[in-house]
Amino acid sequence: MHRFQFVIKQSGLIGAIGAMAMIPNSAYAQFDGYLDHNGLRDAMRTIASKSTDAELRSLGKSLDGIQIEYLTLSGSIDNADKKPAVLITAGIDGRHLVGTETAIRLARRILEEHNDILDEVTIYVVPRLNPDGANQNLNSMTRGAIGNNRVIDADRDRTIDEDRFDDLNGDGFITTMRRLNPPIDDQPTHLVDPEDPRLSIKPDLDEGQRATFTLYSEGLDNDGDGLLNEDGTNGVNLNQNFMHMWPEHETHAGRYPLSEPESKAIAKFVFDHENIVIAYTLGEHDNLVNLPDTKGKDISGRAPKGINEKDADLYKRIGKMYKDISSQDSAEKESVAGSFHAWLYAQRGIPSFASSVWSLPKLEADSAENDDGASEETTLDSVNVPKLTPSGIGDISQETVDELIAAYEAEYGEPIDTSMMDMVTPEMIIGFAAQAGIEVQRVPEEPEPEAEKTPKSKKAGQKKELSEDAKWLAYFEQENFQGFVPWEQINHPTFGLVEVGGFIPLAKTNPPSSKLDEIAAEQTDFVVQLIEARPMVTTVGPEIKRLADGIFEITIAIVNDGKMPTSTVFSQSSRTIRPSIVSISSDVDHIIEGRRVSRVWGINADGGRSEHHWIIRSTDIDQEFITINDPRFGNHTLRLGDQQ
Amino acid sequence: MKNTLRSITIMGALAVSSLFAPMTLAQQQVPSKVDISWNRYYDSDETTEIVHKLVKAYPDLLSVESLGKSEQGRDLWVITLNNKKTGKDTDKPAMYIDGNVHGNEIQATETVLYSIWYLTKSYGEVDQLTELIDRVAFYFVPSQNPDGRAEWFANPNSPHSARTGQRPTDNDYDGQLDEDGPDDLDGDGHITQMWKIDPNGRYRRNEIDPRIIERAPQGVDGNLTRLGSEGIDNDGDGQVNEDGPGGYDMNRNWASDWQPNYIQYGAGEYPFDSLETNVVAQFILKHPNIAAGQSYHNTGGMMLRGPGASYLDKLYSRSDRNVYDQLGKAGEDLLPYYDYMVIHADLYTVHGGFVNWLAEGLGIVSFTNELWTDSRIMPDPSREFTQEERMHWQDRMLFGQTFTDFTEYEHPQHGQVLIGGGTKYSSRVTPPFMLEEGCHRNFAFTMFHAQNMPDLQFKWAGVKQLEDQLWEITVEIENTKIIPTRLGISATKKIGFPDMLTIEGVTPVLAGTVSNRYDRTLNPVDERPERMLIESGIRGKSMSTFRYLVTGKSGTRVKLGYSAEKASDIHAEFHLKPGEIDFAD
Repeated sequence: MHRFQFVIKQSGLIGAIGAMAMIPNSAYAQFDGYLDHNGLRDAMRTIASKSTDAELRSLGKSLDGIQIEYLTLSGSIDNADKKPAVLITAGIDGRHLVGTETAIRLARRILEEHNDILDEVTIYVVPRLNPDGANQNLNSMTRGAIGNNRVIDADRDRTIDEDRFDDLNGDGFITTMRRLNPPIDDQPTHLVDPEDPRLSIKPDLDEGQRATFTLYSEGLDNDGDGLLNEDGTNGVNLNQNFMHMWPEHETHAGRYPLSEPESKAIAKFVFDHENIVIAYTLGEHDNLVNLPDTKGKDISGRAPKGINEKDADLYKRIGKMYKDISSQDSAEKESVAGSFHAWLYAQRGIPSFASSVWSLPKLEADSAENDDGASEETTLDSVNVPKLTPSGIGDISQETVDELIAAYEAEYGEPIDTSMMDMVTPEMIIGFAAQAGIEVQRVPEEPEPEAEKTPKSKKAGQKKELSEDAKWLAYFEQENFQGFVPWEQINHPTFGLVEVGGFIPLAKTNPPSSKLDEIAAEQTDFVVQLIEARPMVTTVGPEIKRLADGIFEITIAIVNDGKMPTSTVFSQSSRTIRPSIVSISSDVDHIIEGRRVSRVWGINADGGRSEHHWIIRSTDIDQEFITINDPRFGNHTLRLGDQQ
Repeated sequence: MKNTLRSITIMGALAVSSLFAPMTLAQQQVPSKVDISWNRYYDSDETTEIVHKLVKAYPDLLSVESLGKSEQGRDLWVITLNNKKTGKDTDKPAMYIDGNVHGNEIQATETVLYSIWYLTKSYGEVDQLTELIDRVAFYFVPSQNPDGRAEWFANPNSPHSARTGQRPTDNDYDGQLDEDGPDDLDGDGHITQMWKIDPNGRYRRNEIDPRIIERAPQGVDGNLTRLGSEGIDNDGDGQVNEDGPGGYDMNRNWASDWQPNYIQYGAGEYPFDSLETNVVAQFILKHPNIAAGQSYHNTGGMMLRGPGASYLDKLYSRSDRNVYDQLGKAGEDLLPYYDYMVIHADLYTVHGGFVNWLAEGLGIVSFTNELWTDSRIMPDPSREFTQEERMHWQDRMLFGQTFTDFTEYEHPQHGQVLIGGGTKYSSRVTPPFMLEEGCHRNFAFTMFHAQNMPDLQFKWAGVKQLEDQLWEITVEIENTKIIPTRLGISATKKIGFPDMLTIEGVTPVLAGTVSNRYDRTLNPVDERPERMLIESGIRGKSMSTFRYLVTGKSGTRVKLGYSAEKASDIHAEFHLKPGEIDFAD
């Protein structure tokens, strides 16, 4: 058996090297229509040059030295920073390319179709905060990189990037590997989905299923430490690099909050732009399809994980607005720890919304079909299954293996050492079978008979629900979109026989480019409605009442007629935002009632008001005035003389 | 560092001491090339001058570099103390020592400077310190907040003011920066206290010693009301002293457990948003060889360890606590009247503190010492004293120098007030005549800490021939000091690099750990036996045993190397033949 082992390793190695040498490094054909770095730069320049209401500027440079550019959209560019503003940030997550595409289209649409709102409101659009991350996915083999290009010794062995990802089947993607014959210490975790052999599922023990293989990401153990791909260029995940619940010591959280030039640049932009009243972040995070956590607290017990429950109404309102407009009906729940949008809420007092823009769309077949039986056709391949038992060695049947063992024992007169069976590959079986003159019978990879006997549905005749992954496969077929790489057998130098294939990174987060325009149309409608719901602040008064000679009572109110508060309710108690400052010109000594300077930490929506009341002594009331200094809505002076 | 070099130096030192026998006599009075009085305080410019004098006088041991500029453009100096002849500083375990992140906590800086002064003058003269200097490196930052220090010395201040950095800040949210700070109304050069003369007041002056203001006893009318620090309403908003210089806390600005201002006052907008904390942080991040940390503050007589918040208690494993306890207990002996304490449990909750970042973020064994406690001036520092007694002893010992008598003042907002009280040198600052002792005792504590940074050696190896070319090699590596090469927190949070044991010359088949040399059960690593990664490092005062199964020809030269971030690398060589090797021989 030693000799067999040797042969396996040799042929495996040669097989893998052979496969790699033949690799045509195929590009990302189905993401044609997505903008690479130059494409994005040109698109932004075109927008800025075509409209006087758009200006191109830079937030700074990425780690790799690429300018992180943004557009300012305003009816009056010179005063843009003095108007209430919406910050739209996309491309934080390197693999969320659809966010960038949406942001750039949205900017174009606003300028072309909704130019009027720019008279009142400024929009900052940062389409790609993480250009280095996008480049990793667009320019070469993609593994679905999320972070920037920070060099990290992820396996902490003092050697950098010595075990990167390897594209074994040469398709330009890092997908997954099924290790078909895992050794004893690598307990199988998955089996082929009996419903669809393309999918790998975890065994349902109640159904009598047993795992047959282990799943890995596609690659080699380049540094021979027993782990695959554990030290590639992994980068810092910018959405773990902000201050709110920063996940210290996580491999990709950065060495300290804002350790990365990209996160620092956008944070600095936020600090420098106190006129931002709404933030909308397009990326892998969502708080619109799913209401953010209103109960959880951070480790200190004093900061909300998601949002304070007093802000739940706001998030419900905007969430409903989103769902009414967008066709997106599901979203992944991501950890908010260290994320950009959660920081804006928790520490900057900004109503901060986030969406992943696109999720698994409803299948056309799904919406069309009504009768129970119809779905069977799309879920199950009704192949006539021969009565063969799988052996666990590729698709070789147990019957064939048994026959071979019997032949071996007949030949040598001793029992076979079955402990080595997991080293045996289908190729070897085929070889032995040829020598022994035995016909190889294969088990079709389609549904395992056992699993089929007991369908999961409890009620007879109930329609069988497709698994999430099965729906994705159906969607890719419907759109004729390459989202899945068919499994291909490869001899892996250390794993023996593997199958390489599975879902393409990014395919589940980024739609076919043909869909981008309609997504952007929806998103533009949402942003326009969001802007219409913005806080709108006006002053009422002053009302002046003469109580006696030289004694006056003065009242003003600051009113918010918008559908959103001027800052979150949480920020009003936590004081995470700079207040509006209301002051009266009188000397402190002449104020009988009221404060010379008072601070407004926020005004609620739907007519919420902040009232201010003074009784002052004055010899010349016409000369007195009230000033309102508001970092979000500008500075106003109310002269009492104007009122009489 | 090369082990051999070190032993040569030690041998050299031993030889010298035996040649010149009456060494002990000289040790008591080792002169420095730089005369510095340790019974007075130095402002920011003067401390800079001292730093440069020391560096000039001891160029073989010291080098100085500016980490960067403070808010007001002062340099933040870092002084590296390293004997280059025994290796680069970055190849040795190092201790980082700083002070004065709070500008008013001034004696912290003198304590740091004293440490440099004492170490440099002792090299080649005092055996213990010579040996230490040859083995480890030191990084000293005398002041993390030179602006606060300069402000405290130059201008009227209280014992508590100028704690902050000097970046103008809008503390009262009125859109103006630093526009209403305290004012020295009585012109004594200090910010003292104001009391309103008020027939309905609840306080009165003590009948025996009118310098004491006390709550009027039940049934007795008072005539004073507390107003707070000396000052007027500079910005006319009706509030006094609500927005003075700066107004944040740089010791809440560090990355571990950093919390925003609404949870932690003074935290800043994000970790390292102060120029000063940022340059110090970048320096420390570039020096993973720092194995020990010390930060000096005042006041209260404490040696504090983390965590700063109760919910982080679990970060300190039993073995880590044991390390701290051994050092802290030793400190209590060296520093009578100082207590070894846990920040959140015995002082107060701190989020984003400096030593918390060192300990919990970077796996560095670190303490904050709160210098000075004013019970030290009393005849029996162990008991509580009354106000009257305190005043009495301050009169006797300090001749009333730390008190400004109350005088009446016509205040623009409050009318008739009394101004007076303890000067900025009262309560928190060590009286100059006791400064040197305080410096020295704290220095002694940090030297004990530094001496206990990990020190590794290959101790023993046993070689057995199993087959013609198959061998079993068992190796013992000892850490003779209290501090482990990796704290428990470093292993659990995966901080820094695991230690690494390498073997060359033979082909290892298997490698792993055994509990001792007699243990027959090997716990092998899965892959790459030629470079074992050891996540939990080598504990303090203990030995780790490793075993190899190797193939090689008899007589082959075997090279072993052990590398740890917080200890000097060690190497050993031997020829492959059955038997035992005692590396100490």
